[in-house]
Amino acid sequence: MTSSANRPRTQWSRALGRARDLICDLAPLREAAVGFGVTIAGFARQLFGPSAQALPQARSLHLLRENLAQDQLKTYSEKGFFDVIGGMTGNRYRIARGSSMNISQLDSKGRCTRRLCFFPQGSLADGDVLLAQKLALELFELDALAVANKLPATDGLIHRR
Amino acid sequence: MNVQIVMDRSGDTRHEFDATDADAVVRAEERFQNLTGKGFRAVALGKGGEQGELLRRFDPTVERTLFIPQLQGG
Repeated sequence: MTSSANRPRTQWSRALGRARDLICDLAPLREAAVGFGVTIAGFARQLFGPSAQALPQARSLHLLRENLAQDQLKTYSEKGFFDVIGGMTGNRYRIARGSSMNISQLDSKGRCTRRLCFFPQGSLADGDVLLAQKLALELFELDALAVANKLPATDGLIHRR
Repeated sequence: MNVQIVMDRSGDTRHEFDATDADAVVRAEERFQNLTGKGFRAVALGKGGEQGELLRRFDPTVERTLFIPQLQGG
């Protein structure tokens, strides 16, 4: 009676012992896997982490600031937008921070008459997008307007000074 | 030193060249043709935020040329 009751317990402890041996045998492999995971995680952080994104943003904003006129730089720093005069039409546009739907065409009283959306291809940093939009409107306005998505003004007064 | 500035995902990539070095000028012109052939616009940047100029052809005397990728509607 006693021996038959102990048999399952013995088999169970033997199985546990084998499992323990197996885990010990696999320990170096587990450590290697953990090390590999840490390496991959570090690599991913370098590629996609905040510091990796911050550098292109900083570089692009530096390039933008270098190429804004004094009055543009002033309003951009203080209010987050700057105005551009279209090189072909003489229309006034307001380019605000942001990378989409961030351009307003203004009338002579500074009211938004329509909104424009265009940007350079290639998932560029914000500063590069703003600089490309500014130079496009100043230097090849009609080409920019030809590709731009155009939407009506929302309230007629957005970004008004 | 003149510089060609190419907008890209890193912010920008800069290629400096000496306008008095014939080989460097050839390489800079090749880069210009290659990028504009892919749809980039080349702009001669003005100094101190002054308005720039759209470049239709390579000009080795331009101090700072910015290459803007092709535009698309949003």
